[in-house]
Amino acid sequence: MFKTARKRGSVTFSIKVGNGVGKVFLAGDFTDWKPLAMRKRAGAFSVTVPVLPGRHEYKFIVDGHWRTDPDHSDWAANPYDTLNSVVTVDARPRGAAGAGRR
Amino acid sequence: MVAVSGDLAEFRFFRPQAERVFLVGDFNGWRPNDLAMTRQPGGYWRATVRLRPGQFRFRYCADGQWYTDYAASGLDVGPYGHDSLVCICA
Repeated sequence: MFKTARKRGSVTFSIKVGNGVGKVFLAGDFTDWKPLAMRKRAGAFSVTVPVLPGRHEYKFIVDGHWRTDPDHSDWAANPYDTLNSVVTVDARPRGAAGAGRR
Repeated sequence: MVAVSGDLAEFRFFRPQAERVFLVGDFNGWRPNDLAMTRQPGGYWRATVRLRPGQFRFRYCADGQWYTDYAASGLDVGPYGHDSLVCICA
């Protein structure tokens, strides 16, 4: 899953995995598809990265296996005949409109 | 039901009692537990997929049961009954 981080322009990606999983990386167009190590905490791996507004594709690498985001159901076909996950980052600042909401 | 806009196909499936619903099709190699749909208010499950132009086959799998979408771009006979079709125009 992902959510907009407190710092504007950043997105926190996380994935829950089983106990046996050792390493998880995040790769996306915003990292030039270079794997970025995710940190394990309380049964989930997460990482926060700067992402420009717009539509972006990403995937998790769980112990060497490319995985779409299991908590989000927007995907896009890639040149390898599999799917990537899609995150859309709002261009609008989070200030006024989001204030007071949970 | 499927709504296509440009290269984006939006899948919606009504199954209020289901615990888990997966979208399964040739665009993901028919892997059954791969593409988990998101539960929406009102009993619908939703997913979107951006696809290259062409015709794709799919079905839904809700709690292990397979379902054909009769409100898609069409139907075709597959090895296990009717597959639904979604068409992305070039």
